[in-house]
Amino acid sequence: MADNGGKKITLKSSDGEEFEVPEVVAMESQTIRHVIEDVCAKNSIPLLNVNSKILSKVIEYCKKHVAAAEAAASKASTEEGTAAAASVTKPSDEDLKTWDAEFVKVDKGTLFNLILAANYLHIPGLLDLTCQAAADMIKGKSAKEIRKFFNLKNCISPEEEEEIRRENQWAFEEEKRTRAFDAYA
Amino acid sequence: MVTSTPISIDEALPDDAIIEILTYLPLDDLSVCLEINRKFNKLVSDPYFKSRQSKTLSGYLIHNGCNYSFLPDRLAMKCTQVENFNNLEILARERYTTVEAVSQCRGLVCCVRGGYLNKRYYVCKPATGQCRSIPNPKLRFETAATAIVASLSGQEFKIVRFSLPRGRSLYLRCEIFDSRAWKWHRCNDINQDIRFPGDWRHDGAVFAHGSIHWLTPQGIVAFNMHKETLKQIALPIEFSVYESKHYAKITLRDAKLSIVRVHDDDAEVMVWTMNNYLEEEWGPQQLINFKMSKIDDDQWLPLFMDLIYSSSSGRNCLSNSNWDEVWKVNLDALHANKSFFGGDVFKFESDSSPCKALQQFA
Repeated sequence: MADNGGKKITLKSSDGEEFEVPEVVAMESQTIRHVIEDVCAKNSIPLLNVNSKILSKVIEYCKKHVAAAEAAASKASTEEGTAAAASVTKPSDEDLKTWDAEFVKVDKGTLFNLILAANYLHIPGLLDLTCQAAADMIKGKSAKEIRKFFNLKNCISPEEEEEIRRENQWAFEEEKRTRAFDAYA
Repeated sequence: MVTSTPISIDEALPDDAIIEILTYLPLDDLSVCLEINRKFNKLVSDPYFKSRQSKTLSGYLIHNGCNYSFLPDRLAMKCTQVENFNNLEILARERYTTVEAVSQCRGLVCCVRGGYLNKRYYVCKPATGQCRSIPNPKLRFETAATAIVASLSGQEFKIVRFSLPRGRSLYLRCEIFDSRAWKWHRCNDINQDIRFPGDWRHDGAVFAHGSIHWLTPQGIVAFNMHKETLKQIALPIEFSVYESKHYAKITLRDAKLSIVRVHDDDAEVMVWTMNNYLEEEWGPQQLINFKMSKIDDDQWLPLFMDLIYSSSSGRNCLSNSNWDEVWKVNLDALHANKSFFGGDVFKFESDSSPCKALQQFA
């Protein structure tokens, strides 16, 4: 059973650095939560797949989101009259979104590592945020631009490339059609 | 895994991670990804990716007077292009079609067609255009409630139907249709005193933890689809305190069974979520006043959307004037609310893969 005796927990990165964080912040990671709840009485949790640089970023994200959730919960419980309160909590939601946007303004390498960490630690919000940021890097670019941006090797000959471009016209037709509800038997 | 700075995306991330990123892309950008290199071409064309991609339709199937229409839940669907989904022709082909149940995922619809004397049961998947008639259940007994559940693979399905016996007996008949056997079989009668409300179609059944749930005046009824047994779940203690005239419905929040009650005195909603399903333990009640914040965060938005498409006594449950202030701040939601007048409503989530059980042979 999860006991409230230890309020702080230590996370150890792959390169040996230790981070002491409140348990509630660490529990943003469902992986860590399972370890705490099922295995219990863990004072130090080693995270072999996350280095200190990335772990400190992840902890930063978790701290911010736990704080934001707590602030929202305390505002919801104090009912201070409806009309005035209508505009009060709007800024905090915007603030968090702005913070998130700034948080993912990192170099590609760091972003990829954050994706891996969010997946390994099972933090859905962070995974969503980082994957969306990576997808945003792809949106609107041509194949050539994407290749350059992500340093991808292209082993397709120009003829093959032309053929793929022609096939592309039909590639997602089925998807598009079902979305438009045209695919009747 | 990765400690030094990666050089290229496919060296830095495993295929699963790349696929995850690709699911966030709209269709046009995905087409471009086919051209990048062989690896991306393979990832994007992969059937697994297509099935991940295919959470294509999310919204509500509603009956507005004379026909069924689909209202998309734009916020739930990640695609940026949203086409206009008009009438579901497959359901409107004959005049008297009633939707009895819609599966929680995979978009399977169980409907009944025909007039009084020649009713026929059908199961269809509007997203793929499949439709197949199934043998009728014992129609001489009036339907009390129906639900349909798709198997995990989406290839098979089960339908449970409760019906009222003749006379004044206080039990319910129970039949189950299994698509693998392609016939109905009778289950043990339900001897508990359970009465489904007449408008049970207004708020569809909720499938969670392997069971189908309905909210009845006496409490929550849960039917386990595997064991084919029924139990009643007690409502939260605080729930019974208020008058039952407040509109309430059950729903899912974060895959947990929840019960929501709308308070007409203000734009307020009370929510209870079941934290421990095995022990039937309800979490603490949460009061949300929708006037307090712009409803765009993930926590309350799905709940709010659910309530927009809910009927109370045949009318839209959020039509009370107390909600006017909420609409002023959430114009998108207002638009959604005004297009729903109350009536049968089913949450609809569908992918675009064909259902094996519905394949017809010429």
